[in-house]
Amino acid sequence: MPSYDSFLRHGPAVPLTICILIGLPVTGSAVAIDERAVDFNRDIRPILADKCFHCHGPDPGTRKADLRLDQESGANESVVVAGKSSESELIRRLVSTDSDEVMPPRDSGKEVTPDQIELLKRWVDGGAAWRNHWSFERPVKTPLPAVTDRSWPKNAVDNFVMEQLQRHQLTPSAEASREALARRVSFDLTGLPPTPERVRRFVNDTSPAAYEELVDELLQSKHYGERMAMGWLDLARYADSDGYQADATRQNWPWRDWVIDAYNSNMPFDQFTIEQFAGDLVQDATQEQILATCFHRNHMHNGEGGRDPEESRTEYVIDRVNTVGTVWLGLTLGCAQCHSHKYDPVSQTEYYQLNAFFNSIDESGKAGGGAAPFLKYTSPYVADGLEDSMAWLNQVESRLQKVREEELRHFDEWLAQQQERIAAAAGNYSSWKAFSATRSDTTGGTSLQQSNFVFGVSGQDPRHDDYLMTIAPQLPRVTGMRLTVLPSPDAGGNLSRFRDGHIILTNLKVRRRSADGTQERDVAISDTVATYEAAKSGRVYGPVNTVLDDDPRSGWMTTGSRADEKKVAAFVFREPIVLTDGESLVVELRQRSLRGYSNLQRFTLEFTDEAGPAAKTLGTTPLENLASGAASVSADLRKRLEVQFLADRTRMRDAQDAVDKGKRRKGVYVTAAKPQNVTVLKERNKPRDMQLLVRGVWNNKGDSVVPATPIAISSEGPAPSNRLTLAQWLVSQDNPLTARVAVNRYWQMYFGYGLVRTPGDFGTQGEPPTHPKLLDWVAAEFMESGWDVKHIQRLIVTSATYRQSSNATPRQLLEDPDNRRLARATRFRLPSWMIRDAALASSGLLSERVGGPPVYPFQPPGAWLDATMGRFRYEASVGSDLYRRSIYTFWRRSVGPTGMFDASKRRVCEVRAVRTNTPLQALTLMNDETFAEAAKMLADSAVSRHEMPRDRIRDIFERVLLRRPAEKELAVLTRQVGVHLDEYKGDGPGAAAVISVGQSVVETQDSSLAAAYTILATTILNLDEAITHE
Amino acid sequence: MRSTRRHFLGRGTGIGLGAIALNALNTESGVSADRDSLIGTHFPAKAKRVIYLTQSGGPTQIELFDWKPGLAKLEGTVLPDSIRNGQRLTSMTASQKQIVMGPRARFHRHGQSGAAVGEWLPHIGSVADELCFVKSMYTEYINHAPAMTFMLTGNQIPGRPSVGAWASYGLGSENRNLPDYIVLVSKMQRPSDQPLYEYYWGSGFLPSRYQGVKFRSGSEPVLYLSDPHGVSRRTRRTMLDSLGSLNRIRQQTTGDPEIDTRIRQYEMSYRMQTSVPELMDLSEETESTFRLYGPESRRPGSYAANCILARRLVERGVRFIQLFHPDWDHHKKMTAWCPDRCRDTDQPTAGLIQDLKQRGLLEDTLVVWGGEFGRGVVGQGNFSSPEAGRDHHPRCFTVLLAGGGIKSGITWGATDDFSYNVAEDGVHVHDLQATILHQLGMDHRRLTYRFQGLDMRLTGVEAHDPVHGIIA
Repeated sequence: MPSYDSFLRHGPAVPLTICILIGLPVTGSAVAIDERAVDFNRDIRPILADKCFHCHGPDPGTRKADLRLDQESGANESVVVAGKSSESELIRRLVSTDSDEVMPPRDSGKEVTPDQIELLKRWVDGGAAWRNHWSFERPVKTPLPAVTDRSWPKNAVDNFVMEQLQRHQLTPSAEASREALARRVSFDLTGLPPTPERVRRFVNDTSPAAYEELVDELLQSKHYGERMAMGWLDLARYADSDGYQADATRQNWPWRDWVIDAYNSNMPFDQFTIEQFAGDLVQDATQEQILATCFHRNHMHNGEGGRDPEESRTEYVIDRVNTVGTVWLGLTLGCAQCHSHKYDPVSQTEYYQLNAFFNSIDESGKAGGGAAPFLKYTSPYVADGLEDSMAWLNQVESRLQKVREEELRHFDEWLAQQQERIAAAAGNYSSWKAFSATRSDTTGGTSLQQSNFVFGVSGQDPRHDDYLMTIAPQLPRVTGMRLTVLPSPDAGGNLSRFRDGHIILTNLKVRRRSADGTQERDVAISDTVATYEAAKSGRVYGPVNTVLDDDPRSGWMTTGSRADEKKVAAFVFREPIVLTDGESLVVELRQRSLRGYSNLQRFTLEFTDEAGPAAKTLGTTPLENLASGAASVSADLRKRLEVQFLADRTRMRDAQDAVDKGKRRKGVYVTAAKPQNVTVLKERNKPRDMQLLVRGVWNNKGDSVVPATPIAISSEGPAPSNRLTLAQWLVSQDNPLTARVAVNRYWQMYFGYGLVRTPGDFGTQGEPPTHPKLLDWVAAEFMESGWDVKHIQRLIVTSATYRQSSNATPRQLLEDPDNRRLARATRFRLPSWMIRDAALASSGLLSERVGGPPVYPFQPPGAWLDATMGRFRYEASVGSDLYRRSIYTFWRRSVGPTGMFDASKRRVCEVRAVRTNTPLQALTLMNDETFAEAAKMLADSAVSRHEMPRDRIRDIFERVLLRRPAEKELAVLTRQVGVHLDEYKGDGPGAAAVISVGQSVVETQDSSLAAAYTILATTILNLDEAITHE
Repeated sequence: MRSTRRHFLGRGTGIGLGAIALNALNTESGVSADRDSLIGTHFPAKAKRVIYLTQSGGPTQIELFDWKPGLAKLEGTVLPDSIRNGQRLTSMTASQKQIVMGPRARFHRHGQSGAAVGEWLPHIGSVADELCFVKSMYTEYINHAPAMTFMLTGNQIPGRPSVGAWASYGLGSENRNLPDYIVLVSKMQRPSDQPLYEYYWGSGFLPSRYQGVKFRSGSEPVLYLSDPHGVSRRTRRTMLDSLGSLNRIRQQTTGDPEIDTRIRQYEMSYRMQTSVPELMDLSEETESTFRLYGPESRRPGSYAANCILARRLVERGVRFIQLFHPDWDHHKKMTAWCPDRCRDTDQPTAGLIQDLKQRGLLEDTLVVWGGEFGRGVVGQGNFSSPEAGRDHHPRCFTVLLAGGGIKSGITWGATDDFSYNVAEDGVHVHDLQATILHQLGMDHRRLTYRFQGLDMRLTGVEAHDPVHGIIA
């Protein structure tokens, strides 16, 4: 078949005609035959697989009557008489009216339709030609089909597409507009929109090579690697934490950068495979080759207490095999974990033979720090970020200094006010004040009375008791509470009636009760301090801060001090509380300790409105010192007063907060610059014995097996014996699956669906390809090109098929709603990560830095705390880290990035593109802080660069959608922005709030103008077109 | 249309005919006629909705429900091998001697049925006549995450749809302003020992709109629900009107029907911004309601407040409501720790059942109370001290059912004298799941979805059946 080879060597121009000349008669007749002849793989195997294989298929465990219909020998020797359907048992059983004989059996729930029976008859009568399942045959290039419209095809892809269109009397759609094409190909190859300037240049470039030049430019972009890597990370179930209970943070991100690098340097797919399977086993392995093997350690790690690590280890091995099945072979191997595959020729033994390749990794099954083997790897991608973080820190530190100086100018004024307050108290100034409770209850059958502001308990001492006091402190605000536990005569002069005289307080809660009494919201306590707390470690009674959890097994205990002396504890509220009319505080003190009988007997509750250190002062507060002191303020006291003053100044708190965050961010980069512990592959010295697991249960061991690959897939070449040779087997020219499965995924990126619409299942239960010859041609091309990844991307995106418009005609929608014929490009919603990156890019916020430790973009407050039941607190990054591409977003498995809807879960390998359309997505895109900030910056730049409303609207519209708005679109937007302007002119605080979102500061002075255009920009960012691959 | 739905229910599908039905579901036409006609059952349903009160961590059946009067006498004796019979243990207790620890709570008999309930659950005891005590539950897994995943999704490996997702997939919605499947998690002050993974209420391979939507207890029950500061309702309305006009213009150019759905979803998000806060606002509830659910019910995010919300969701036609209350994992200090969890949940659970009953909602609402496994008769730690606790136990545990066409005031199944093995009428996790689906009018064998070439179902490939003996 010289023509295909020459096609490869010389490119399409000349040999195309040769192909057509040679191919014409062949394909011409093939089309005719296709209409009549029964094709085994297309027509017959799917029926057998769906209706018969369950009992007459590859699994000996469920096989009935010792009959196999998945193999030619099984069928044709017994139940099929070729050429004679009337004599074939297969047909006789299908049409039988005897309920004992008819197949499939009635109770199986399966039914063969009359049409299907007719097909089977025709197949038998036609000679019962048997072929291997299509995907187990090597892909070969068939001659390029002849096409009537020779001007349309731009490369081989198009001939195959055109052939089908012709057969169905369809014509391809017109080419997409230049704007749409530039936008589409830029998203497809880099995951980012082009700049408006680049689109303009492309639109005006009339040279025939303009498009190819754009494609090459995009393939050379550093963002190409990021885009391709994002897909690979889904397959690799990459995340920055272990998953499961502990969900410990890991340091595998240097591997993510390795993947980006590999794509950017166009590493051939065979090498890409081999290094990730066995980079450690190649000769003179480099650090990067070892790093590559992290692919097979990206699975979840289970650190749950009480778990047998060996069970976990077994699961990891299984996860690797299933991932290999999905990513390289396109087979649902996991089905064979418990029993031989019911539909595909993979026996349970073969499944565990595949496990054997991964069974002798030098791993223990433990998680977190126990997840060796590790590679100590120093990333080359940290220096920029470190420098940036240091520059940022300098900036916020000098700002803090400046704010401090500015704020202290108001100190004397404040001091004078305080001295007035002190004077008003007439020598009786106290920072803490007690109030009468409106209710005092207990749950232990005791009675709680307040007299002279002291609470006293009476009644029989119960084992456990809870005290509930409702108090409305008459203070302008409440910043903290102080509990004083007093000795009681009823307790023999001690704090409690327990024999040692000491109290235990297991929980303390403060709640804010609404005026109507229907709500009691928790008041957050940020700090606690006590005059004495028993020194104990762990979850045993002692430290006062343990009263804040909901755990009765920990709490404040006074044992170890004198039981006849009062004890004081202070509780600082995270935010000052300003109670409105009718609101009150409910204070709950619980004693639910294990030893019991340690109840408080007498105590007081006092409140303060003073900020900062005062609220956690157990002795004399600075203002009390001031009240009792002489007229002159000592330097030391002045300093303490300054601290208290500054703690109450919002600007100062914000500036301090920025410095604290800046320091933490720098810390992240300092740590990242050191060698990271990346989980990698490494063989044990002594291999483990691999045994089949009966019913897939980890400790139910069956026969020993040795490493081997499934016979049905490819038996040519040397048999693999380790990870290296397994990888070589996967990417050998004899392997029928790997290339097909890979190019199918590429196709899916550009057309929304693969040529095989079940990208993870090329087996008999998967969908057959819509364009089998095209798939095979591209797969063969991939291998012949030396697994050149960029070559295949270029091939697809330069095809005429790809360049079609995605607009659909009513007829197309009716006859081919899923676009299986490819008479148009596919219109589909962009992945959520691309939508975010696009908003950052078009607003000018995007940081283009590649690689480095993961970052933390904006997320709604409390999302992690809430999802992880308080285990993990999320702190948004600062500086440029807020605007990094989504691939760098920290991925915690137990919660995942909140705004990335429809993203894969990164728990196990996922190949399906999920595209739902829900109200929650609408809320995300309208209200997420990143999008709000992007809108703000779009508005700011449009407003500062243009004077006329139309020009401003056009500016935003073009930046986001990369085309000029139509008149009617402009009219809608002009009207809209007018309404917003009127509103925000009358709502100064609203406008100020809209433009204070995010980290960046707008230049526009007129905040109502900036706010109105921000809402307009949000609208445009939310347009269906803005979030859609067109 | 009816047959379309049947076809869809029976076979499940990814793309194709089923997808058309799914799109119709997805258009959010609410309670309109075309939507109703898509809602299908295999046979008449006894329950229209489910409230699943998930107690995560493994509540002890020995102290709470499975009264073994003879067990106290056996305290300190070695568990007979004939009873243990090779049961796998967690690595926490695998190496220690298997010594029996008697019940640490007293039991009282309640109501006409005379059901014995542990003293830590007096309120649940008081509604015993409304309950069905399934004492013969058993599972296959012994660690939290696999067992809970199994309990909720029918498989120990994460990634399958949860029972709530199956229910909303099968039945669709009755309310156009709220999701079909809503999850409420108790807000605790301390980090929980067993995290509650999002996949517990995930949709697995089912379309993601069937996944449970977790409502948070703060001012923003659904992430991103609140408009940014400074954006008024009027501004949002103006914006959505403009957005709709522009999207319709685009639809004329592209012909893409998906744009229609998008417009509708933006409108639904606007309605949710009102309907969700309205749902979460308990200020219209009466004082007697708060008293019924107990003092904690005034605290947003508490199990008690979530029980009130569950009732409000039932009133609004939400199909599947799932509460999660964590920290029932009492290896140590059980006598302090377990009563604490009981105090959190006892009165609100009983209050919910009474409240549903008095409002006439209990008869078609199935209430399920239970965890992922039970706790073992063998003690952990020093028995004579308050330090003692119990390890996980998969071979038997108790689950409570109420309403929704389940017989009330009965006990189903029994365990041996050690509360170790099921002695009669064992109920496998898949049996319970089949029962839940059955009460909703669905045959668990026919509620399938095609994924990776297989017709997947909640209850796995082995033969399991609804527990017909408890169905009224």
